[in-house]
Amino acid sequence: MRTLITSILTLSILISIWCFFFYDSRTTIKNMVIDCGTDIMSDIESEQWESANKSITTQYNLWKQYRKKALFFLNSEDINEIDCTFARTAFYIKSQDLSNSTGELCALMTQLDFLIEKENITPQNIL
Amino acid sequence: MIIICIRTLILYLTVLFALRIMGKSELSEVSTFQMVILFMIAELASIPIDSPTSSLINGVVAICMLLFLQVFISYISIKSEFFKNLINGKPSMIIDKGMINVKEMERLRISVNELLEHLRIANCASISDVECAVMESNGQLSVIAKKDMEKLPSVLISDGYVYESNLKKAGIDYNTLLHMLEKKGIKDVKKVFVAFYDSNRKFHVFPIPENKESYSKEVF
Repeated sequence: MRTLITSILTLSILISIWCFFFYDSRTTIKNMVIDCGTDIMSDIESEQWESANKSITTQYNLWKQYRKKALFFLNSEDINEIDCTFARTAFYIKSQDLSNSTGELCALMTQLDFLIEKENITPQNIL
Repeated sequence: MIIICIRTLILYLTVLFALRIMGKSELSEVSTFQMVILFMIAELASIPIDSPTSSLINGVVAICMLLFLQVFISYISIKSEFFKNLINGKPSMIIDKGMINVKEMERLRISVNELLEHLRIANCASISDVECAVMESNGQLSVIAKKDMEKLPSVLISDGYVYESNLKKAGIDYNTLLHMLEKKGIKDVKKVFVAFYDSNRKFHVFPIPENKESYSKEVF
């Protein structure tokens, strides 16, 4: 009985930590995707480079904060890829390159979406 | 390099914890199912060591999940005879009262030579010396020689579960068993840890220990 309780406790602690992280990151990432899709994208399309640059820097800082937690739970390759895409998007916005910055921003949004999507409890992910 | 060392240390401690929680029986008497679980734990521990990009916590969670399932199934198996048979399988009688069960041998895919080999290992030179041979659920063959048969106890109750077939063999019915238990001050079979007839046909009862006691004392 004692071993059963120990194993249940261990598993519950780990799963609770995971659930807390997952629900927290779902909100964080969803907000990031919405901000990228609306604010930054419209700034780029209307060629307001300064505002776009400010917004992507803010998002990048938010991402860096989230990254610290995410590295404990998610595959670091995926996180590094998003890091690189962030850096590329920020660089293209800085150099006021319309087509590349929109392309990279779309890729960034998809990668962020995918990060959460693949942790959702769905039959597709399970199988 | 240091990262790999630290990750290995953490996983080593996790596996050590898992094996300690699983208990001694998992290590000493490994059934096929338990062996698969142990291999899976080893494999799961090696993935985060092999690839530093994969999350360590995911590996630990997977090991803990296997640990929980194994402990949970062991716990249910102790509580339910049906579940125990479902998970571990029933022991198979290969030789019963000196007769060879050919159908059971075919079902278990055991040849006569293999049976003889096992009997020799159990110090029985000939099949004619054997009263019964049982293929246990962990794959080991238990052999009881004719000369030892009389010394064998007949277990009537184990962990609150009454073995009807052993009652029949002992020549008593359920009511008689209850009456014998009542004589010893036990009114419920569920409170019996083990009850058996010894070779002199003396009835022994060990009740389930009360509260926090670890030992079961025989009731005289």
